[in-house]
Amino acid sequence: MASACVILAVLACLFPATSGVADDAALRAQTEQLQHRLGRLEAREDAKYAKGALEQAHRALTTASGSVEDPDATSRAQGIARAAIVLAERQLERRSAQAALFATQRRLTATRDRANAQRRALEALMRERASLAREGERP
Amino acid sequence: MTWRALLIMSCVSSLACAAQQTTRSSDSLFASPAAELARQHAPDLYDQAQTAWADADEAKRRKDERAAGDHRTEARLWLAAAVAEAERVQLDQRGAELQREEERWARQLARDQEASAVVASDISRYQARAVALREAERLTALSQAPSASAATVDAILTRVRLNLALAEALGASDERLLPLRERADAIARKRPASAKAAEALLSKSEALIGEMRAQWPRPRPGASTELVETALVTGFAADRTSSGVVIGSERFFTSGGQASSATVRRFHGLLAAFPHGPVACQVAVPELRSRVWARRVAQLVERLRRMDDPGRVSTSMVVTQSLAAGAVQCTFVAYREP
Repeated sequence: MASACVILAVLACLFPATSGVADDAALRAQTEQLQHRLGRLEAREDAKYAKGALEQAHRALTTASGSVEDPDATSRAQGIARAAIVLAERQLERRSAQAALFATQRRLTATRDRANAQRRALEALMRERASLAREGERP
Repeated sequence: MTWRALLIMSCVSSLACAAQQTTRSSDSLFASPAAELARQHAPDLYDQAQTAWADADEAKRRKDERAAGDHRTEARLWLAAAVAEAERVQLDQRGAELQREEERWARQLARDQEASAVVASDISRYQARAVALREAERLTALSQAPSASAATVDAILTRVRLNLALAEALGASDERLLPLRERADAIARKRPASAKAAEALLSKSEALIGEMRAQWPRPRPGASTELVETALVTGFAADRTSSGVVIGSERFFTSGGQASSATVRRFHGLLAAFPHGPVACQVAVPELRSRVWARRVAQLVERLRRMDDPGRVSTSMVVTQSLAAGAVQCTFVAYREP
């Protein structure tokens, strides 16, 4: 009975420590995951268009790595890093959409110009045909 | 006491102001037009921002300023991401609108290109017909004139050579082609003053083409197009109708009312080159009882029948306002395209 009490007491003492170690490992894994995600974004050719957000994510992840003793601070830094990474992703997507829009606008202008020129050509051809037809009808 | 009361009042009002400032920040952050668009187009990111802002308020209530600051930073980042996403959605929508507009213009362009090709083809036909009519007029004058220009003889010989090439393509043997080619070369060398020899050779070449075509039991596919083109080049009007190819001319009669030898000769050439089926001709006259026109038409019928198969062409008179008196329209009924 006494030995059982001793074992329970030891387990009770060890449990918080074990739980803390597991939380630390999970936080570290999340930080690494975010760093990997950030690394992929920074490697993109157009990364310079989300420079501010990427730098903020970088700073937040540095903070997260350096504040292992304070899990709450680490978690908050990760939250900031996650939001900054998402912001960077959306900014880059917005820029792609903008580039696609400009390309569509250029194509539209070119197509419209061609269509207007073709319409003028068609009208000129129709005038010529009408004139020839009138000539052909003359006795 | 008064100073202490003032100090306390000041502190309270400062706190109230600070709280109000925080509220205003929150209000202005989430109440801007950009945030409203973000709420509509990126609700998930907008919700993240609001959750982070609520965490900031909670931390502030716990007087944990550092945590409140972190949560506010996170909230602003989420909201900025939501705004960026909303702008992307709007850019995509605008892009799709422009693309639809581009497609509309592209369709108009394609339609106009197609129509332009048709009109250009019509113009070419009108121009070719005008050229052919001028040439036909020259040939008409030639038949009445005692001499022909070198250019006229060249024009006839060019057509002879084209006919011989077509006859060869249709299967004419070298034995048939060689004598005609030699005659064409001889005429080109001798440069005769009259075009009669060249015209006779032209008739021979057309007859040879006709012989080749006659070997087929019925006109081959595309023969109606060839008939129309040949007729136009020879100075006739030509059109495909549901009853066959209609060949017409207002030059079958001279200004004096005689049947035009040149036109009849060219028509015989066409008949020889396109040998299939009967040909029904109608002569437009002012009235059926007109003796003058009856005599003219009888002369034309007699001239048209001077060919190998006199029964192939039937001729009748018709009173119509749509054609000038003396205009002739002949339908090659076998050249009806399905």
